Amino acid sequence: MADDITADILIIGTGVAGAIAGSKLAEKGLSVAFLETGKRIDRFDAVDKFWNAAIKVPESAYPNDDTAPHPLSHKIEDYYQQKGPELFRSTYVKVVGGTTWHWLGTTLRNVPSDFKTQSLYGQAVDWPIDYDDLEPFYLAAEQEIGVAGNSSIDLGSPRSGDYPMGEIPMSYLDKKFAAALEESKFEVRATPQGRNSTFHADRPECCGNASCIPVCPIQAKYDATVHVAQAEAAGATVYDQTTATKLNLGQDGKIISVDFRRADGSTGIASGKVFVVAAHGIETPRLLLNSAQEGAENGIANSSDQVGRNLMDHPSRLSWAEAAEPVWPYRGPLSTSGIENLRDGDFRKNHAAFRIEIGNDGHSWPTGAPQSTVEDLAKQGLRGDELDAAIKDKTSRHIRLASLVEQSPDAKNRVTLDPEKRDANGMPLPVINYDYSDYTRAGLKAAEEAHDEVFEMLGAKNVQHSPDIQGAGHIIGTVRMGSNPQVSVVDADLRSFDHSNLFLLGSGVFPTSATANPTLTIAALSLRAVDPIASSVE
Amino acid sequence: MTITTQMTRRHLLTAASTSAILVVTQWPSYVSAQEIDTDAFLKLSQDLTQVDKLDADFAAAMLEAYETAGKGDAVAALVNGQGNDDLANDIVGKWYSGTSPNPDSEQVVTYTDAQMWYAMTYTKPMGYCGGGVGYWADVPEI
Repeated sequence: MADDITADILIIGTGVAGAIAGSKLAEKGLSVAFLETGKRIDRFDAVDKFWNAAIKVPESAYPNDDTAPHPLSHKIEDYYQQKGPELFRSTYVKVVGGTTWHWLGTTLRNVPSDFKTQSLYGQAVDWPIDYDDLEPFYLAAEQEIGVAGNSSIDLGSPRSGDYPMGEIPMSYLDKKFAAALEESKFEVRATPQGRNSTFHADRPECCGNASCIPVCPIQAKYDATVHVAQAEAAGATVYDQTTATKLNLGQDGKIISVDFRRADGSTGIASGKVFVVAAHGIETPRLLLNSAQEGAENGIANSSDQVGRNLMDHPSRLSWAEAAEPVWPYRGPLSTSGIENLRDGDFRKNHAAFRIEIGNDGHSWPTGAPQSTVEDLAKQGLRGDELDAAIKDKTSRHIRLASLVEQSPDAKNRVTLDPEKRDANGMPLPVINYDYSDYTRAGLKAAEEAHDEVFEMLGAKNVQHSPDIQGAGHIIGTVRMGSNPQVSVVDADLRSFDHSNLFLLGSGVFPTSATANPTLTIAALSLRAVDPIASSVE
Repeated sequence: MTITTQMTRRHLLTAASTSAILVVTQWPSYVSAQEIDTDAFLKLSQDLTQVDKLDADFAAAMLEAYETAGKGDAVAALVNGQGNDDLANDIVGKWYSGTSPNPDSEQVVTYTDAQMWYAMTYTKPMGYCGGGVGYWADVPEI
């Protein structure tokens, strides 16, 4: 095998975590190389692929190559070897830029209490850092991503500066919710979002394509190719279609190299001084566990036996209904507002917190509307103008809520390796054991009750709740950060307790899931890790 | 483009087989699935949907999908005047949704040209720009 990649810093993964850190490290003058299993994506090809896809799941715009396989929402048991008792339903894609290609764009910060739920509420664990430690990096991350928001709105997370852009306007639908809930305990607020409300950072303002998931056709919505490009401009090299298969341990406890396999079947070794694994909550532990070797018999970074454990998501209660009057969904960003004041309170001693996301996407998520709606109406025998009018009336009243619930960290919820099944790169497929605690289930129940209340105040009819607990696409935990190496994988700088030149970035390091969509916190933690990573290059 | 090319080939094959049949037999009393051409299906679709401007390429793809799904004979019978409300409703639904009549298909017949978007006058297909920032904040012009 050829020793054909060398850099000061090798970063595995080009999603938001790796790309942001890599761009800053390259701008410091350090040599940076990325190993990325997926391809570079042409934006128009992605839009076209989405348009043509029969099943329009979040992954539908992207390749699913044998050498860069990823889970599919509608075939959730194909890639994941699910051992239950619950199905893990969240997915991701493997492309240059990672899953930010199809993220929603919500950029909420955690609230201060999220960092110390054990101390405050006797639940889960405290983080090794608190809100004040992260606040400057939240602010920096908002600048890097380009967040549009109203700095004067109190979302429970104190700010030391303004968002770089003014807020994305609330939808007409949002305003109907806000008006109906004005005197209630539910506070409807515009959501800070990683999409341009004005021309910013050489990218256009949002023009409401309503396809944020799976793809923004004009890149008004941030994706990590922004920082991949910045890293490359600063001298970094991206090796796409190149899969890291094993981290190799030196004699001093440091990582010395990474084995990789290209899509054409050729293999090689990448050497460096510092190694960053930023492949998120499934692929990061998969690589670490697949790297078991002499000196790391339980896998790299796994002396604590915590690698792969505490897998979390934001289990979601999905509900939908029909408004009494047209509210005109299927326009604008897929979500522009939420109810955020249920994310903290003394109730957290008893049940999980949640945030309520208000959708502008009608019934797309739960029913596949509007396609399913028009076929249902056609089955009723409607034709011509009568059919057109029915479609317009029905779809214009589609409303949807989804509550993202905090999930308890549980060591039994874990990613391990299948002893037999391997992908085309020879990597064992991930096995998943997964369940929800009573505390999380109580949060889901509270969310359903809140949805009923909200719909009732809106005067909505035909309220329905998904019988299944949905995934939010937020893959959290499996390599958690902590202050005790006996029960955690990385320290507060995201450095492996076991290997001083190994850093793990991404939502895998979150000790708890909190309720905020994770991308902004991923970005903030990655920015915070830049200096420790840089100072580790000797 | 691909659809057009395929349909040209399919039309040729259909025409050739029809000629061969004519040499040895009379026209059957009903029109069989193999002899339904795009024009006949397009005419049927226009009658059912009450929409005049349906696309011939999409009609060809849809007909082929019905045949692949094993419903070619039923479509032929419908063309020939045999009543079948479920199938008629299904054909209308497919034109409006753009989804394929073949449940195993991984692709739609069309998304951006599905008839539902003409009915949903307040919006447009996902992936198309809808207007300036914040157009979604107001009641749409419809």
